[in-house]
Amino acid sequence: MNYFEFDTNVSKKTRAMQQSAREFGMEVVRPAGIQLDKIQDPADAIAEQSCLWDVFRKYRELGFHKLLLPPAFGGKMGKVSAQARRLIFEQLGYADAGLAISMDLSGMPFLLGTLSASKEVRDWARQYCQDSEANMIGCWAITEPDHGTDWIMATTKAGANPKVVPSLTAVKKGNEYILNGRKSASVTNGTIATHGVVHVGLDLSKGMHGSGLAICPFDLPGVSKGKPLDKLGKRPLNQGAIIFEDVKIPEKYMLLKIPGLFEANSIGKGIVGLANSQMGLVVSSQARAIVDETLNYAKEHSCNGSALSEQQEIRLKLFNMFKTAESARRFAHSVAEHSPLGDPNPIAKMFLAIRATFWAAGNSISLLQDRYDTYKDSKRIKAIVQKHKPGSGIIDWSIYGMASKVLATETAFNLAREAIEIMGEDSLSTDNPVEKMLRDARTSMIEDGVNEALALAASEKLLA
Amino acid sequence: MKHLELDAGLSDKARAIQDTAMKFAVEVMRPVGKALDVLADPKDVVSETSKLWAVIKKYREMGLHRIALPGDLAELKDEIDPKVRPLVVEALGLGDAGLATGLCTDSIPFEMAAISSAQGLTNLARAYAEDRKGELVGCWIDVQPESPGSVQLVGTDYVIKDHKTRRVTNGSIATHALLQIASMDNPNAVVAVVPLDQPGISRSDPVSKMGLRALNQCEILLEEVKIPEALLIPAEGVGEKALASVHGSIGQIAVGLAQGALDESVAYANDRIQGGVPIIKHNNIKLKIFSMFAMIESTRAFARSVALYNQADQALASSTHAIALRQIASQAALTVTSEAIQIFGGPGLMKEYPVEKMLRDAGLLMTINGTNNVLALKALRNY
Repeated sequence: MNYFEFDTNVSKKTRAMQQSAREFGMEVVRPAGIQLDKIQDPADAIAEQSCLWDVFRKYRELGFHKLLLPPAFGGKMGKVSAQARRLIFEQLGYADAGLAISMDLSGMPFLLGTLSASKEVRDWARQYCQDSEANMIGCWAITEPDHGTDWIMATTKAGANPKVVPSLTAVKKGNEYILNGRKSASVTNGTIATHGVVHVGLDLSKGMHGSGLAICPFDLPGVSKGKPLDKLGKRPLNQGAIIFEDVKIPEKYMLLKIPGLFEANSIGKGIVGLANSQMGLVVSSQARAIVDETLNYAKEHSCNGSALSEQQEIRLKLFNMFKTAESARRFAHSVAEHSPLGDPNPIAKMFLAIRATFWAAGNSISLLQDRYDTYKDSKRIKAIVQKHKPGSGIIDWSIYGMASKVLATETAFNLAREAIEIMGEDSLSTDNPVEKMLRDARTSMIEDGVNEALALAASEKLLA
Repeated sequence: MKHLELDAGLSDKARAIQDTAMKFAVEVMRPVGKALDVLADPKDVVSETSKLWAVIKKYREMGLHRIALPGDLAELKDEIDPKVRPLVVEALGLGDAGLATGLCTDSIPFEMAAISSAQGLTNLARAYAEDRKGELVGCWIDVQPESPGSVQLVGTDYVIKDHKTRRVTNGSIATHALLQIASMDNPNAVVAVVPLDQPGISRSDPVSKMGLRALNQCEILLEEVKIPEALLIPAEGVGEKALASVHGSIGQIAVGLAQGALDESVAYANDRIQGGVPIIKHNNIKLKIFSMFAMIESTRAFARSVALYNQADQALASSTHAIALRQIASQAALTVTSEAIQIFGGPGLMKEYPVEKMLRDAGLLMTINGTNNVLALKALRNY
C-alpha cells in the first residue's frame, strides 16, 4: 500500500537522499541481511569475502556515515537536515534492523572524538569521513559480562552504589591509563571494530558513577577480541567481547576522566537516550516492514477457497497492525525530530565548519577536567560536574528517546506475533521474511538496554 | 521453586511413570534436542547417523509409546490410568518440544488403528506396541480437498487424485500415515491408516523452520492414491478423536515447554547479580516470574482436564476443547518464553543459553498442524 507521508516540507534534496537510501536498503541491505542471517558460524559473516563489507562500503560511498560529523572534519552535519537523517535511517531499518544499527554505531567513537583535546583523536574523525573502504569501524563498548542492566542504571541514583562497580578499570600512571577487564559479548560491532567508545571504571568508591569515557583504538598491545556472538536475532549485526589486558592508553584518549560524569541525569542518560531514539526509528520502521509482508501475504494466499484478504477476521487484524505500527512510527519520528542533534542554527552551522571550534571545545573540556583534578573540593567545580540542571534539554528529551525504543520494540514483536497468527504454518519457515523479523524484533527488546531497565531508568526523571 | 503437583489423587504408579518420563526428558531429550537444533541442514536431522534415532529407540524401549494405545493392546491396562498420558507428554515437552511433537505424532495412526475392529488394523496397532526399534513410525496428514473432484469414491475405495500437504510432521521418517480426509460437505468424512510405501506417494526434502528444528517435517504429495476399504477406520468419531489427539498434545507439550522456561528463569534469576543482588530480589523479576507461573498452572489444569476427557472412552472426543487448549497453551508458551528472555537479558539471546531456543520452539507450536484462526473457525463449526 502507499503510506501517507506525514513529513511536510520535504525538500527535493532530502527526497533524493531518501530515495537513494530506499534503493540501497532494498537492493543491498535487505538481501545482505537475509544472506548473513542464514550463515551458521557468525565468524563467516565477517570474513573478508562476506557481503557485510559490500553493505559497509556502499554506506560509506553514499556518505551516510558522516551525516552527524561536522563539516570541519569533512562531514555533513548542518548540510544534511535532521529530517533527512531520520528518513534515511527509517529506510535502513525497514531493510534490515540489525545492519542499520551496526552501520549507525560504527561512527560513534569518531563523532565523540571530535570533542577530544587530542589532535590525534580528532584526526580519526577526519580519516573516518574520508574512509570509503570501511577500514575504520567504531563500536560502543559499555556492557560487561557481569554488568548489563547495571550500566543502564548507572545513569540513575542507583549507580552510586559502591558495591556495584565496572569490571573494566582504568588506573592512571604518569601520563597513561592502564586498562584491565573485559566488555561483554554483546558489544555491537565488537569483533569488527577498530575503535571504540569505552566506558571504564576510574573511582570504584563511586560505584558505576565513578566511570569515565575513553576513545580507544583497538590495535594497541593487550587488546584482544572474543568470538563473534551466535545469537537469536539481528544476526547480521556483529557482536563480540573486547578484552583488555594491561592496555596502556595515553591520557589524551580519555575524553571524560572525571569519575562522576556518567551519573544520574548527566551525559550517560543523554547518550542512552540518543542511542535509543535511533533504535526507535529503526525498529518502528521494521514494524512497518512486518505489516507490509503480512499485507502481501494476505493478498497472495487463500484459505478455504477465498483470499485471506477477503476474510473478516484477517481484515480486522490487518487494520489493527497498521494502526499500531503507524502510531509507534510517528512517535519515533516526533521524538527524533526533537533530538538535541537536530538542525544547528546558522551561527552554530558556521562554527561547525571551523576546525578551531573543536580544538577550543576539546581543550576546554580537557581544561575543566584538569582543573577539577586540582580543585576537586571546590564547590563551584563540583556543582558544574555533579549537579544536573532540571529542564536542560538533552536530559528531559532522553526519556522520550527511551520511550520511543521501548514502544517500537514491543510493537514490532507484537506485530510479528500477529503476523504468524495470520500466516500460520508458512510464517516460521526459514524462507519467510517474517520469521527473521520476529527474531530481530525479539532481540531489539534487549539491545541498548533491556526494556524494563530503560523504563526504570527513565522513571526516575519522570518523578523528578 | 519446586514444582507442586496439584493433583493430589495421582497414584504412586502414575507418579513413578512421570518421574521416569521426566528423567528421560532431561537426560536424553534435552541434549539431543539441542544438538539437532543447531544442524544447518534439516536433512541431517533424519540422516542415519542422527541422534534422533537414539531418542526414538529409548522411548520405545521404555514402552512410553504405548501410553497412546488402549490398555488391552498395550498390555498395560491395569498399570496405567488415563491421567498418565498428559503427565508424560508434559515431561516430553519440557525435554524438547520438537522431539516431543515427533514422538506424539508418531503414535497417532496406530492409536486410531487400535480403535478399529478390522483384523489388519488391530495387528498393525499390536505390531507398533511391540516395536522397540522404531521400525514403525507414524504421521498425520490432513487432506483438505481444494476442488470437488480431488477425492473420489470409486466403488468401495477412495481415490485421492492430487493433494499436497505442505508440512507433514514426521513426513520423511514415517512408515504409516493417518489420513484425515475431508470432503467438501463433510469435514471429517473418512479416516484411513495408510502405509506410505505405496505408489503415488512422494515426499519432498525436509523443510527448514525457525524452531522445533529437531522435529522433521516435509511436504507429502498424494497422486492417484487408492485407499481400499480395508484401510478405512469405520468407527464413528475417529476423526474427532484424531483431531483431539493432534491438537491436545500440542497443548500439553506447550505446557511442558513453558515450565522448562520458567525453571530456567528461576535458576538464572537466583544466580545473576545486577544492582548488587540476585535479580530475583528485584520486584520487577518477581512479578514476571509469578505471572509466568500463574499462566502455566492455569493452562496445565485446562490441559489435564481436556486430556482426561478425550482419553476416556467417550462417545465423542472434543476437538473443540483440544483446539482451544492448543491455542491458549501455545500463546502462553510464547509469552512465557519471551518473558524468560527478558529475565535473562543479553544472555537470553545467546545460543549458549537455553531460552532463545525455547522461544523459537514456542513460536512453531503456535503454527504447526494448522493456523490458529482457521482452527478456531473449524472448531466452532458445530455451534
